[in-house]
Amino acid sequence: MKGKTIVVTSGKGGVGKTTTTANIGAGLALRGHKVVVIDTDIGLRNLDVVMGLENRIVYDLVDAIEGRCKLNQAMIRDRHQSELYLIPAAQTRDKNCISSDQLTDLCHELELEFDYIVIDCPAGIEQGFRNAIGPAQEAIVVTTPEVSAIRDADRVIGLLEAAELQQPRLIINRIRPGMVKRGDMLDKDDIVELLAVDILGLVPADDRLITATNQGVPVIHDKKAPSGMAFSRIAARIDGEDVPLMDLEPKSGLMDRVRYLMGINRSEYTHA
Amino acid sequence: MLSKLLRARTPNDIRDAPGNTRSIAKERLNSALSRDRYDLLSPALVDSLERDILSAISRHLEVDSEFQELEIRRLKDSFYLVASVRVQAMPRWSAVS
Repeated sequence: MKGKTIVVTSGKGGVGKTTTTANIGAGLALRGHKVVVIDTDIGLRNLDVVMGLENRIVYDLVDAIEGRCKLNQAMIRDRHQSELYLIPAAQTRDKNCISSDQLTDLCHELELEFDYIVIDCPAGIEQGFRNAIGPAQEAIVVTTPEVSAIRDADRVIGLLEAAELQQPRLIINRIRPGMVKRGDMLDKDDIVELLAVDILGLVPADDRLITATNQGVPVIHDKKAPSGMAFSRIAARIDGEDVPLMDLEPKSGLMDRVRYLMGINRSEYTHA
Repeated sequence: MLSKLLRARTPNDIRDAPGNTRSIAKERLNSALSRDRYDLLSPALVDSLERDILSAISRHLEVDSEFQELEIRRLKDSFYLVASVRVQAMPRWSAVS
């Protein structure tokens, strides 16, 4: 078996990289694959707490790389899916304590056992970023429809292409369809035109994502969550399935139209 | 009056109206990305551009093997490729048969 290593990047912090990594990992596992997600944000680990596994950490990525434990001792099995594992980042070290080659070797070992290795890349474009993209065969760039996130995404796409990670694919997170419709938010076509990349998925802004994350459960397990459905579709596309993009339309009931005309938007999406 | 008001509020009008914040964001990003990409333009790109342009020109004209000047230049919000190369000998134009 030869698994595939995918890195999730963004440049800018706070756009939803870690949440995206957790949900892609869970989504691929739900599709029957054996998956490991790796947090490479050494010193600022978060993937563990987003997945609700923070109390189970004994060893971490740096322990495994420096030989203080066996690789499988650093892997934590997910609470919901037996075929999903997390390798947490070290919290007390910094990004320069591992090299790109060391992480690449580790991923090569994992590729023998897993179908997908999903790497959560730290924000920024320094050593931590270079470490995280080193082992990857594919790259995903997460952005939000905001000028700062899009500008950083452009920079990251350039760096990925220079590192011969051709054709990174874009996830646009926290889209608010009501604002798009009012002409107050960039839409997917604007962003595609600006960045000249392929879209992997569109994720609506979603309160249910926040409540799921509060509980340490990837939102993909919440069947009613629009963002969860978006992540299911993204996982399917990564898995090679041809799924149309989600149609993000504001609700159009009478009261919603009234609210819309008045500029009030309580709920911003329907799930098509 | 009312119909005019309602027509003015159709979703596409609103979404595509110039001067809304979406249009402003797009315009600002477009120029910021161009400037960023210009600042990061690699010398390797200029080198390979030079090679390819020279080989194309020399199929038609006898020119120096180096440009006097070759650069992508920024003037306000637009970018220009500026190049000049010395022609060694002007060809004799003959009627094409």
